[in-house]
Amino acid sequence: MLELDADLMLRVKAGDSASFGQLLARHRGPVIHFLYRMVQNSAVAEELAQDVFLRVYRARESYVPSAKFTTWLFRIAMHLALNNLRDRRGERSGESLDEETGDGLQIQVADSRPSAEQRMVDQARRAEVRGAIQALPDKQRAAVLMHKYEEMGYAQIAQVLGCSESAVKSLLFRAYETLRARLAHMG
Amino acid sequence: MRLVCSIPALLVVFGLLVAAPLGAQQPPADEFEGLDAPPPPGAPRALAGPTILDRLERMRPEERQRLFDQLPPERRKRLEERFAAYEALPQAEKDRLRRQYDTFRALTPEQKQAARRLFLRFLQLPPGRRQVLRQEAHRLSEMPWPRRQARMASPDFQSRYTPEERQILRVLAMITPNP
Amino acid sequence: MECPIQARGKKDLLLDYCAHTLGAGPAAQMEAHIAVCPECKAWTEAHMRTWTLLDEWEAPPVSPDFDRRLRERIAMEREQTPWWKAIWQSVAARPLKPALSMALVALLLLAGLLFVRPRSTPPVRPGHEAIDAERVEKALDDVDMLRQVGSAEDTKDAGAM
Repeated sequence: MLELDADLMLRVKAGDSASFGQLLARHRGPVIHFLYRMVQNSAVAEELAQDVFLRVYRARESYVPSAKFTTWLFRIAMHLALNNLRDRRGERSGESLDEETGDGLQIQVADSRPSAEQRMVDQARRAEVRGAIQALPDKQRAAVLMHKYEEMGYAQIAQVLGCSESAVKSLLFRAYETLRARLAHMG
Repeated sequence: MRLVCSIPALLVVFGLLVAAPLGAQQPPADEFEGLDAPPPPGAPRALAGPTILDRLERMRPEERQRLFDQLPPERRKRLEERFAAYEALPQAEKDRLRRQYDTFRALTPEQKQAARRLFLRFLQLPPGRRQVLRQEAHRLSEMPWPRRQARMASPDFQSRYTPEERQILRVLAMITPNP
Repeated sequence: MECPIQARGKKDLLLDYCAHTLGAGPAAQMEAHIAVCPECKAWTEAHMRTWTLLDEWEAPPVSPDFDRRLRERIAMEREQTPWWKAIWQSVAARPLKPALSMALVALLLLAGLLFVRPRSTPPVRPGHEAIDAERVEKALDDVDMLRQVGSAEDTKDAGAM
């Protein structure tokens, strides 16, 4: 039977580092993917994810399972992502640190599609989707990413964002309307 | 009984009073403080002794394989590929990397971590900007120390580069081997 | 069923329907409504198209050395924490009982004695400390990073070496 996250974290609190490894294995993917879609840079996303888990580790001795573990995790991730986005907006260097095409440090995965033209079309479509999400205000973007990609419920998203459930539903509706309008031409 | 219990407690307090200043570490205000300037005459910049890579290259193949076998399969395969790619580099490139690595490995763990973060930020810059910084770092590394210091303090340098880029340049120039 | 678009505060039902998170009963009701409501039909079709487009954006795989780098950072933090502080932090997080406090005093005394005892093992000559696969991995990572930083060829493939 799969152990609850809170039980694992309490074991970490008691000094069991293997339980921290289990939590990491379970949650690193979703946290990194959420951060990647927030900041749109895989290297930065991994650095931030490291910070998230480091904070979890540092807080182990005072951990109390008052909220769902993933809520806590994503709250930290959200906070770090917003700080990073704010810092990057204030950078003097005139050029963006955002990835140009498909992720600066990532190993390129061989594409099974046969034609270079098709690959370019796919890349352009992904760029449009990325651009549309990037253009959303930070909170709307975070809400969409948690709802769509991490399949989190309204209540949990509300706890991460620190707002009411009805505010989350509003945010999501507006965000999806905006995305629909922006991506309508893609069919 | 009370006297017996109080003696260890007194010794502990004494131990803490002695150990605390010895054990306490004040982090430096700047991780790379004092490293920019050239070492005093006769003192080496880098660590003595062969690097891990030197030792790895000199190992017998079966010895090296026993070492790689310590890792789980996926990591072992990646390590083998990386080592093979390193061995296949042109000699001039290998020499350059070894000299840089020699300087890098002399850093403390904290300095290495700070350098890695800066290098990661460097690699995230657009290609054009990276090239500008590389060229500047190369120029800085060729300068005698007083000129390098003056260049980095100049208004022109300060205005061309962000604070983070200036940190990156400082570390890049530090590890770039002099021609 | 009331139209979710017309009714106040019901639009999230459409979102839930499209995300397949409605229960079987409500989902069936929604389907029946969509069949007769052109506005809701258009909304759900447009939303599903957007949803499909969003699906095309896959996140890249996690670096294989992510866990190792995190472990390194944790180890470095531990190294930087003075031993007495690490013990104190560990103690402060737990409520102390009299019997435990005596055990703690004994432990600290032992730790203090070990700390002040002069080391008898000779220092290892530089370059001759034990070599293990993890250190080799770290070294090759660092060399790879230095190669990328120094290379004028702007490769984007971190695994090029």
